[in-house]
Amino acid sequence: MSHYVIRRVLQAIPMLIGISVIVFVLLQMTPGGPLAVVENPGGSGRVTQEQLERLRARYGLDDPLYVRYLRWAGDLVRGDWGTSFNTGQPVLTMIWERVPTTLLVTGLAFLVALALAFPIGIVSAARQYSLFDYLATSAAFLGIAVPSFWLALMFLYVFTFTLDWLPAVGLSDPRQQHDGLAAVVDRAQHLIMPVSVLALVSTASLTRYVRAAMLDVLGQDYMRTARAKGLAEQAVITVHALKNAAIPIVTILALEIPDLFIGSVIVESIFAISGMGRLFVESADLRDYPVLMGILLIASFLVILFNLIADILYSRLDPRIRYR
Amino acid sequence: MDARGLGHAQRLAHLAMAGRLSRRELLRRGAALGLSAPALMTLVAACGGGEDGQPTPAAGNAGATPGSGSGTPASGAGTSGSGSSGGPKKGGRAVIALIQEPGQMSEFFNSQSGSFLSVLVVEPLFIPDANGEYQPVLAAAVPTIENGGISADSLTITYKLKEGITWSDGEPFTAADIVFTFEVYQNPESTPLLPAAYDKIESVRAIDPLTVEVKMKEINPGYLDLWQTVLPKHKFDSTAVTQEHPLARLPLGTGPFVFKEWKTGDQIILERNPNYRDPEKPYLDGITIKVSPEKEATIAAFIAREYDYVYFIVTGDLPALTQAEQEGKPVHVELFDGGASVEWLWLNLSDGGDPTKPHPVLGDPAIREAMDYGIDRQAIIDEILGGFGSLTGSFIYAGWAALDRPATPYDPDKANEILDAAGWQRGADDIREKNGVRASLRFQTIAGDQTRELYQQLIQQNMKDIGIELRIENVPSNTIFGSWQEGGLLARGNYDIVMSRDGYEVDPADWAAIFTADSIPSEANPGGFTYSHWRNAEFDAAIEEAGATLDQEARKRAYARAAEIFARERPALPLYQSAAADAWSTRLKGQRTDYFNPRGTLYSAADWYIEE
Amino acid sequence: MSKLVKHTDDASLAAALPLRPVGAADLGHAAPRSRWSDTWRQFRRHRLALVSLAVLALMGLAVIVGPALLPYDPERIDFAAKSQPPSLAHPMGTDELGRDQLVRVLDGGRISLAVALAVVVVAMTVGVTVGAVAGYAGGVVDNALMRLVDVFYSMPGLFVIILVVTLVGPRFATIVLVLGLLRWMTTARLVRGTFLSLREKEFVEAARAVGAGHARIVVRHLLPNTMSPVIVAATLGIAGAILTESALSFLGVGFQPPQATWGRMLQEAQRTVVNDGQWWRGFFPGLMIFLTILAVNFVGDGLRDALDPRRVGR
Repeated sequence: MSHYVIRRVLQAIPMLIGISVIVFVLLQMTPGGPLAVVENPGGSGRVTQEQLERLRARYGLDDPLYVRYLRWAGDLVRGDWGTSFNTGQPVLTMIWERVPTTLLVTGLAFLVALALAFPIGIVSAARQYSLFDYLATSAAFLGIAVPSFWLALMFLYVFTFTLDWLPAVGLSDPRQQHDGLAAVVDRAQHLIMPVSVLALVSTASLTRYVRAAMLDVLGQDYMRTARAKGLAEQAVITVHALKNAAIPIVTILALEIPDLFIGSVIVESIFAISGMGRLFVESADLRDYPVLMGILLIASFLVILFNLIADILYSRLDPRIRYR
Repeated sequence: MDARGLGHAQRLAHLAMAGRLSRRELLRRGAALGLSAPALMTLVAACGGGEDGQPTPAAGNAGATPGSGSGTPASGAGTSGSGSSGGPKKGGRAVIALIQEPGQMSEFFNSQSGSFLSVLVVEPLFIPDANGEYQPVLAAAVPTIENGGISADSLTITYKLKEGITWSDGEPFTAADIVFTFEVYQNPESTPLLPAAYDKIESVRAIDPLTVEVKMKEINPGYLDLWQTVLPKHKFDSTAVTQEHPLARLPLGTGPFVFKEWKTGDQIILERNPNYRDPEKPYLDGITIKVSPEKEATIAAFIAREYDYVYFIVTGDLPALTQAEQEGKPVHVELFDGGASVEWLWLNLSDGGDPTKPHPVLGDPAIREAMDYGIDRQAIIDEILGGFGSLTGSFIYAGWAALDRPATPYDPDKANEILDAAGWQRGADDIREKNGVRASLRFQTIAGDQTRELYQQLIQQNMKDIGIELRIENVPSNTIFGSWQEGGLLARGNYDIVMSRDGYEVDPADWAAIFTADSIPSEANPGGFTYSHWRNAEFDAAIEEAGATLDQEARKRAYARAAEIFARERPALPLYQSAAADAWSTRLKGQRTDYFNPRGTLYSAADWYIEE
Repeated sequence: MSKLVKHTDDASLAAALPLRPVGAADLGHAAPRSRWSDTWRQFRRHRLALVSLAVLALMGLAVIVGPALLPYDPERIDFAAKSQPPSLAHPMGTDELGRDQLVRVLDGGRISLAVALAVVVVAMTVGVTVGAVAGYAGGVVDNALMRLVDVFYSMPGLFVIILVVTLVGPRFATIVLVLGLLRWMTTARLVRGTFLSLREKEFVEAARAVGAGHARIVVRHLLPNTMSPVIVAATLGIAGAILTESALSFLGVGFQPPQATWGRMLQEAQRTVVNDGQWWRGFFPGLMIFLTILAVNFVGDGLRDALDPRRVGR
């Protein structure tokens, strides 16, 4: 097992290198670059050629592609993620500044989704073909089909434009410097829409997984045995079934986490939340190569990491799986 | 005049009542020479003063003090919103929404629009007032030949500084700081981003703590735009300073507020400067600049009381904001006359950046002329911009040399005739062809600008009507404006039509230079910015003549000649001139608006106060 | 057999949450030979799926012939009709350029659906090919191809899509290729797994013994056995592709004006919905996306039931 894990980790390294090379080359091949910001369309800052040359030299933009890649990779190995062309700040600092925001919104949405999906999925499975199951399954089908950006737009129409209940943008009321309870209430008001949009969509798919996993377990022979032994239905479900259904569900959850992170870009765009997703979109517009590389690498790493976790969980579940 | 034109004239009359010349957002260039903006004044006179009695947002505001004779920006004239109750109240925080967060706040190191907000902290030596006349801020007086500030050969400028100015940390502001600022500019290890006026400086010398002598390499009309940002010498241990320096990000200044903290992507906190020269001011305890990157949602939040000010609104935002004001929402819209930048269609006259070969389609003057007649510009203003904006047909439309030249009228029949006569025949799909070349062109602008995409589609349809196909392919601004080395579309001549705003300059010298053949970008000249790749010896000669003298009348005549050639040859087509306007929450009072720059109200932040 | 996660479920999960790896471990098992003749009969039992199929067929018909039947041009500007709420003349209202929203929804739907179908074709072609080659050849080839699959799985999907489309430019072919090339991996694994487990089976040995070539064995004997899960994955993949394309357009990196797609229409509607309350601008395009995905999912569900013998007679 540990041999397997080590091998998978080692395999991840060339994969990350491969991804970084592909992305790096892609970034540099296309027209436009970070200095366009400096040249400032609109006529104000026609800065002199000499000033541009200084910046190009400083960013090392005149070196050949492979030199730039090797320099970037070399710095990375030494723990230096580079400096943003735009802000002049270390890339890692910039990313870390955004992580809490993204974690707050997506994490909260994920927790809400879990809190809803588990009970609904379990009850649905336990009372298969009941009215509740029927309603829950239908709702899940609807939820999966709803595009999150549409939902967000309609929420904004209803709760902000029409009812004027909830604020449209950001994560706090900029005009009031709240503290204590008022700050919590204010923060909650700002979080309601983005979190519900994300949570609603996640809940729908999670409910289906939970239900499916529970149904599978409930159909097993040993469950029938447990029932036959006279265990109360309640106990069968909570103790036996849930325990056995947990692993596949957790596997799915592990795979879901990087997606949530990546999916944050949409909800952050609509609600003007300055998280990782926005940082990525803005950096792509500015051609801020060091920041883009940093975010892509972290996102790839997350995907690989959680895949590995999922695989390990998965293999524990089914010993017949060969480690190849 | 048809109904549409009449409505437009009425609007102009209202704007004239506001009595204020304005400038879009950029005052870094400007000029020492003749700043009367005669064309605009003529317009004000022609329209008279609001006889129709319809109140407009602008007319209802007290900020409408005519700029003339109301004194200097520093004198406190032209204060808006003096309102019912007594004097300004102390305390409270104003909140500014910032749409595009810049990389640094120091304008010395950053040329993105957002760094202009640093004027809340960093004061320049001079600020141009509503008439475009520079008024001293940190300087004691504007250097002139009379007061000895300008030498007889115009090559030496002597700046006198005000006494008793201190940096916000209490250290005195002296001539040594200005000398140091230039040393930083000169150090090849430094990476400043400053206008070309700095390039013309030969040397900077402190004569005494309050006197600086600047020698120029050549006549430098931008001498009053120098020293917009002075660096505090005592805070640096080297003259090699780059974007990574903490004071590049959050500069130290002499202004009413000090930068306290910048949480990237979230907010920038400003506190009042305890060492500000006027102990009564600023009235506010501080200002929060909130990063709010989504324009549409930000405007909605502004209307819903979440912000006091949005940096910055454009013409396309005005319909929504004026409507909100009329509905009694707590926003105030201030319209200035005179307009701001013109939106242009840049036409590529070269074949893929090779100026020796004409563009297969746009190289034909008939195509350019037909396009000019084929665009329904008034519909852009009336139907898409809610009536805001104006028309101009002049290449030099702003500043002291402004020429009043009517826009080309919308005449699709004439456009069709021109094309028929030139041999462009309609093909099977109604798109014209000539010698096997299809009149099909790429049409690009910065992606994601919803208002622009609307009139882009209108222009596309206008062109389709005269048999020219436009294919919209919008891309990020960096793809369009990237340098030659970066393969930017404009610089490489890898485009057909690009739309962007430009040319709002007090002095036309730098603006005119972006059409002369000597700055066509190439491998040898990667910094060139004649993106139309236009070669016209006659035009170049006129521009050279205008640049070779300081005689204002002679310059103006030369520019007028250049403008005629420009209008005839059409290397770029003007669409409309943006309206100049600003908006703030009704609870925020004390703005002064008598600045040349419409965003100039930010200069008056010391006077701002909050009245709920 | 105690399989907690079935192949068919893998496919649906992968489709519901795009770019989902299923686990690198091999859990191939033979999909029993499908009884194609029974499939339709089984499918018909799933009433919702049947209704959904009808809805999709209707939608397909509407987007193909609809724009020609309506008296409006999807791109022609008419300021006289600008920003009108839904009415008899304009059942979905008009936009700020006075264009009829219904005709734009139909015209845009043509693009949205075409993209989705093309993406699935690309994804399935690449996925089946890679999976078949890897599974049939085995050994070094298999190993190399599976590493390739891993690399693609590890690409942060939406980020890479945004990046490539921003950089290369938003054209139909670009968008289809990028979306397609980032969603073939599940299919590849599915096909490979089946191939690996089938290639040593008696009927394959028999075919080999009578001298059948590789191509014949793959096409005649192996591929048909993988078709059921592939078809289900393809169907559900359409939903994912529609969603991704519209998200892309919504973020402003998709198709260019004046071309309508459902995602672009939503993006264009943002300002008027949020600032002017013109709900119809956003409501209808979103509703179309929603209905399409819903219908596609039901059809996929029905197909899975119909194609999966274990569920027969449930």
